[in-house]
Amino acid sequence: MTPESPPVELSLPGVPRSSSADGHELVFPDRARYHDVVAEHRRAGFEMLASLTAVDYLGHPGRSLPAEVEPQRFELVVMLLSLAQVRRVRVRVQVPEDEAEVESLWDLYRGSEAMEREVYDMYGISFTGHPDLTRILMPEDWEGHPLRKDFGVGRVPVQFKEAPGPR
Amino acid sequence: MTDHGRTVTEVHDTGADQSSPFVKETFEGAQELAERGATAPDELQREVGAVLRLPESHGVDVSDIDVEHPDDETMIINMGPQHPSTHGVLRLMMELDGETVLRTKPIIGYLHTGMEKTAEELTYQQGSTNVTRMDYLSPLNNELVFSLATEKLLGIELPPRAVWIRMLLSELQRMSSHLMWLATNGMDVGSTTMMIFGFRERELVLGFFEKTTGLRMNHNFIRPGGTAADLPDGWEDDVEVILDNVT
Repeated sequence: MTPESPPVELSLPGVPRSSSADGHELVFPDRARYHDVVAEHRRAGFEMLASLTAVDYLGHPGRSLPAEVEPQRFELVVMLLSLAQVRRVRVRVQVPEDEAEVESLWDLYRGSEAMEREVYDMYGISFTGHPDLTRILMPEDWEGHPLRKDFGVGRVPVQFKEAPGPR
Repeated sequence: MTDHGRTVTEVHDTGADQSSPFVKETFEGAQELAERGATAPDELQREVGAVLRLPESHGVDVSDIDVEHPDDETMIINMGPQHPSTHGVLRLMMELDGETVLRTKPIIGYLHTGMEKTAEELTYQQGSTNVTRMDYLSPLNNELVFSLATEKLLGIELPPRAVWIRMLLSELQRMSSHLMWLATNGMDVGSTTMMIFGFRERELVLGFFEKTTGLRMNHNFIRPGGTAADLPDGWEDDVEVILDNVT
């Protein structure tokens, strides 16, 4: 087993950082600096984009954020992993509802392609620079983005049951 | 019609009776493979996921890529969504030159049922009933991670016996899942013996699960706060039989 590499110092001037209760490093760049911050992690040896997803905080605006970060409706959550340093970083980006668009990480991590398509499909957040930003799970002609909190659950009529009522 | 620079597909009207109880036909026109000329050489080299996949070891030189591949020499065919070799529903659009696959575009989502959306409407106790159906090979592990997340959020501490029952069941589940993988893998290479052996040993594990939880799958046994019940009397002997047979 190869010995663990020493942690590489990240150069992130002016980007709010903290750590979660269970010891994960948190980084809170704004949308403009999001791509640069992830690129800096890539340079510092975070070779794996473990996960990229989003959260819709509609109706639940309260969450623990550094004082200088203004909460928005959507939050993009990116988990980066350095296998050599055995280190995880969670990048959290606030994405406003009226301008739900961020830069794609596709040029840094090829694996982000499908995950960004899923976030686009489920939350309606667009990624500029993505090679093929289309729906991945829902049909092409689906209207709306199902994992938004204001998207109704809905029901499909079935036989041997009364007509579906409102939930 | 464009939106954020993307082309948005027009909603396809099937002309069907509007009072039809069925959801309108799925239109997949825009998911078709793009024309070959639409893919630039550098993009071909960079192994664009939905447009082209090439093994990285090929180390493609941009100048070597023949973008001007005549269209009349290639054929675009559709494979799936139902195909014996795919173990599930997966559709592949493929551009072929003879028997060589030049480009593929995978189209997934046929098994997407929106379980995450369903979960939004459920209580924490109902949640494990939902997640146990997400993967029929490892329902107990799905229940476990859901329960662990819930317990972490609520700050619930578990009795040690529940922890170890969960561990035991999860490990047995892992064995049954891997046996299923071995069995189906054997079927793919044409070995029915391997398939029968894998399913036979897996059945031992599922039998123990039935004795413990009441069901062979969809157990809803590991729940936030612990497990639904204790292990049955004599479980040590059952596990020993499983271990003797599988190893």
